[in-house]
Amino acid sequence: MKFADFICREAIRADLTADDKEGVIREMVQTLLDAGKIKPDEQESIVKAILKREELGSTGIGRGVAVPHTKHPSVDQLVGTVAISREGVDFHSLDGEKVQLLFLLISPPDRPGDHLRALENISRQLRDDTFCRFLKRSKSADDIRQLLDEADNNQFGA
Amino acid sequence: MAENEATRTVTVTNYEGVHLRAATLLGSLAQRFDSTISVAKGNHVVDAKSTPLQWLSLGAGQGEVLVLKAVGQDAAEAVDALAGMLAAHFEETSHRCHDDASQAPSGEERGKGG
Repeated sequence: MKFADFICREAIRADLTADDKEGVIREMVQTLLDAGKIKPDEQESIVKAILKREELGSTGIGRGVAVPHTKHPSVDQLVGTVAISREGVDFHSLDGEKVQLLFLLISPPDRPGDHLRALENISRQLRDDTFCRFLKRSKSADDIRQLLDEADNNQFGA
Repeated sequence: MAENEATRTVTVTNYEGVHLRAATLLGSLAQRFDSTISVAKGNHVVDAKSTPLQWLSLGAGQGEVLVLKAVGQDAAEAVDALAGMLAAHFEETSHRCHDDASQAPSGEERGKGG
């Protein structure tokens, strides 16, 4: 699975303004709503589900990266987005570091394989230090889109 | 002291596979052992004690086979513990997971620390 298969390009943001965990999650879900990927009447339910998942253990997996996610019956295919927080937000990450780079995923409950393939892709790409560093330094959504395209074209060491 | 080596082939049996929380729990468990531990899916081999990214990069779904390999004094215990955690399904609550998921207390208990 490639980024292009699950990342909504219109929802990508390089300038999150919220300064806490719930705030950035709400901001990212809003970008998916604005992009028409989720329904307005499901927005709050999706946010709550993602926050509930965070209660089970932070999705801040270290290296300044978090992957907040949830299963949700309102989506019929995996939808995701990427965003950068320049200041970083406290995500109670495993390594205690603030999170600058966020991948948010919403997946249909009956498609665990797609969710895993997305995580596999994200993690394989992020193991490449250059990709991870460039992504965090992205100045615009266009920069992020370009990096994701390059990763999809195997231009990093995944 | 001579180093021990232990290898265990396991099949991922839980419905959701090695998802992020599972990867976090498995990585935390692996870190409790002194042995060097790797996990492989086919030709893709990763450090089981590193960040959850390593486990996630396997993309190990239900039915897929993983090979756990440990080298060190506690090698046998390490592969036993990781195999036990995988068999215990990470306290998965999905309605589609196997009924026996909740009947493997030893692995679940180990998972609490993650």
